[in-house]
Amino acid sequence: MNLKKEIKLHTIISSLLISFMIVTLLGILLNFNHSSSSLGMELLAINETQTQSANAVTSVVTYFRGLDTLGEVTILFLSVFGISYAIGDAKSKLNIFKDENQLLQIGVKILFPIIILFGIYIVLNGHLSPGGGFQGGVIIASAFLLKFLAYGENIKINHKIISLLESFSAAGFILTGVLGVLVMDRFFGNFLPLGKMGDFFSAGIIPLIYIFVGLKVASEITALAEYFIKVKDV
Amino acid sequence: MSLVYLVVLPLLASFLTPLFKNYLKYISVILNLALLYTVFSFYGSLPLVENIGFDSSLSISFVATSGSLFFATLFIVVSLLFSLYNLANQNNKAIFIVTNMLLASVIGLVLSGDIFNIYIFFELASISAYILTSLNKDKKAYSAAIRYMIIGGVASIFLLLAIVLIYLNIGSLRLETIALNFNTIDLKIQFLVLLSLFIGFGIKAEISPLNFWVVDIYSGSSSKAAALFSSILSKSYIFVFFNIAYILNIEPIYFNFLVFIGVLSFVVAEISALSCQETKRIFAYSTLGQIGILFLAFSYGDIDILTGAIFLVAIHSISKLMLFLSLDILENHFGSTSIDIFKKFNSLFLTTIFAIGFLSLLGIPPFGGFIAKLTILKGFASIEQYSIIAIILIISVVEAVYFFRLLGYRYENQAKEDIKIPLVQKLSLGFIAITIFYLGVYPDWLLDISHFVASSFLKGVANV
Amino acid sequence: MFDIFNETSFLHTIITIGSFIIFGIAIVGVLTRKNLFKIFLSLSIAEASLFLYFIGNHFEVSKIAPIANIAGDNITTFSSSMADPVPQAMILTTIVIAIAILALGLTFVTSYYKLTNNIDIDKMDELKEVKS
Repeated sequence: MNLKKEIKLHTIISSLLISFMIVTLLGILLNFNHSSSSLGMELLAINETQTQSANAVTSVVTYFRGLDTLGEVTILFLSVFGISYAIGDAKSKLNIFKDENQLLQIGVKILFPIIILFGIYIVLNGHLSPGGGFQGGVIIASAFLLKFLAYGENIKINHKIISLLESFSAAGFILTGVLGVLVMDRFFGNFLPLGKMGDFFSAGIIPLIYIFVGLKVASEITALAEYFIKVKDV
Repeated sequence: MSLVYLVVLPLLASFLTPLFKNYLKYISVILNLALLYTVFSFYGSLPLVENIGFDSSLSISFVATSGSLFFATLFIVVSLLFSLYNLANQNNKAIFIVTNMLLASVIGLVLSGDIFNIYIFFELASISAYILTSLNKDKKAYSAAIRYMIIGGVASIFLLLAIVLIYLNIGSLRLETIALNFNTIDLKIQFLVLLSLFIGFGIKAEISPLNFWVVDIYSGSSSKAAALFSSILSKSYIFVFFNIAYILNIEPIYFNFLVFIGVLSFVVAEISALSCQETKRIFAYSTLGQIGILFLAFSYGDIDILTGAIFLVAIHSISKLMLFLSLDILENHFGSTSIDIFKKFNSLFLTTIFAIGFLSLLGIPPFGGFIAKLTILKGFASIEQYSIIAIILIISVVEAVYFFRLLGYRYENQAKEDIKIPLVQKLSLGFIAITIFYLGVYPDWLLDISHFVASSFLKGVANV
Repeated sequence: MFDIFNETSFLHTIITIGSFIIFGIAIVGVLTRKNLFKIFLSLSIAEASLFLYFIGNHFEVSKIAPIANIAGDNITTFSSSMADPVPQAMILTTIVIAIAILALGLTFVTSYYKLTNNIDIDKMDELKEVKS
């Protein structure tokens, strides 16, 4: 076996140039002072009075910078749309996992509802403990992925339900913002009662936004997993 | 009436597509008319700063200056003309969703006043462009889309590096706060941030030497996609680039470098167009050349040159839209876009449209492009930069060569096929042609608006 | 001897050097690799190195997570001894965007492969101009 690989001149020159640039970059970046006061510290200071949410990262993601989350959710929607357009109809394709594993099938029957429940718990408790819509949505999608791995061709997803869920949750997200404009004259204004920090029903629109995001991410990642698994042509 | 409606209404329409599957083309016309009405309602209260979420200097803000509203109006008008053109085709879900997302993201790019928000809209515009490139689903489309994604990925990495460095050193994401504190950070880090922003936005704004990928992408995608890229997408990145440059108040030496880049882009692009055998490539090189002139004009910072540049932005967007949509009619009929198709069709309407478009781009009276070039050249003459005038005029001769060659093919004696054009497409293309002619004869109203926009640009951060 | 690992500035230095070495490797990968999958993977690694640099430089040894604990054993409220929540929120958003774009890119690569059986970027010449 010939272990010596041919290293092209092109690779050597690029590596030298890039390493020179990185060393210069490190020389600049290694001796500077960080700024002590930053946007995050000021937002932490007003977090308790403005949102009554116990998790500061959640309130930054959904409320203080809610428009970024709207853009991110839109990017995810557009990406899954582009994939469905390029791959075509998933009904006419086969699953690439063909093993019929008894142990996995019995295990999935037990685990599937537990994982879904866990995912829903994480979505709903985004404002009280670490978690939120993105994290919980991906957990729910992983439960469906487990089902794909276990059951092979015998599981199908109803794409009409998935597209309805996507549209409904995204429209709900935007309408929450629009309601904020109509009620409080600011997009994403917090028009629901704030409650007391630590209660389940607190922090205004933040749990509502995370529920929409969780539904959307769960349905989209499930559809994404299905498109990537059912790629073998009949 | 909130500024965010301009961004959110197209997004809402795209999300609710399953509800009105059979009326998509009508909904898009109605949506664009609604957006036009919304943007007109903000004209009286400039400059406007709207804080999103909560009223404080810590929130994301949307800033409406006359420059951003001008560009937003231009994008909505282009999108309206595009959707009117599409009334003749069938309901296409992919085109509806992607054009709405593209429109929402470019309006968000020009209106946003927060740098991480600009990054989000930048990525949204990129992903709409990737999907738009791949709509034909053939080998060329996928090849173009994959290259676009690789180059776009590098651009977004450099933009992310710039944002990371800004937040670590200044601690804020709001453009005004960054501008106020930009000069307090270490000079070498300032240079790093500006270099990363230049690479990140420069790749997408299609300037030399970072625009080697553009012409292949245009030739691989369909003409409709190329129309949207060249009229909407490239202008928005130029606006964001110079908005940030003027707000950060960068040193004049950087502006001199940008002038050099503009001249380089213009010269290289126009000369490369001479040897092309495919119409989309020729139009792509022409777009790159005009972007070079725009870069040159925006970097000078002189009010008359800037007035001409903004006039040129408006004229160039609608001219390229008209040219690429006419090419789309030919592409649907003949199946290819090599320059030989100019010898093979028989349609007085299309010949007139192409003639008006080419003459306007060349800067020949009585069309709008002449006024744009004249204003820019007069501005350069008033600050005595005669060398730049010479370069622009010499290269315009090169432009004339390849455009007149295309027009000359119309008069070759060959068997020609008749082309049927639907009435609504004739109306929309004819409307653009008449506007270009009208702007050539009565340009004063648009020149006054351009002057107002140019003066607001030069004020930079003093706007808010 | 290992006490130096408890100092914030030393950790910042290590993280900066490490993340930019990874960034350099990834950029070399984008420029020189021929396989399309490797190019996309290198882009993903470059973005990961930037996330590491950003979050790592906001880490300080004495700070705690920005989550308030009302009941239970340790009662914590919002104060300046908590870590900065904005970089965490920004990186959360950017990670989701990066995976969306990566998924779309890999789909295009597989569709392209099905049409042409080619996965080498040097051999992608459908867009080359045919000079007549």
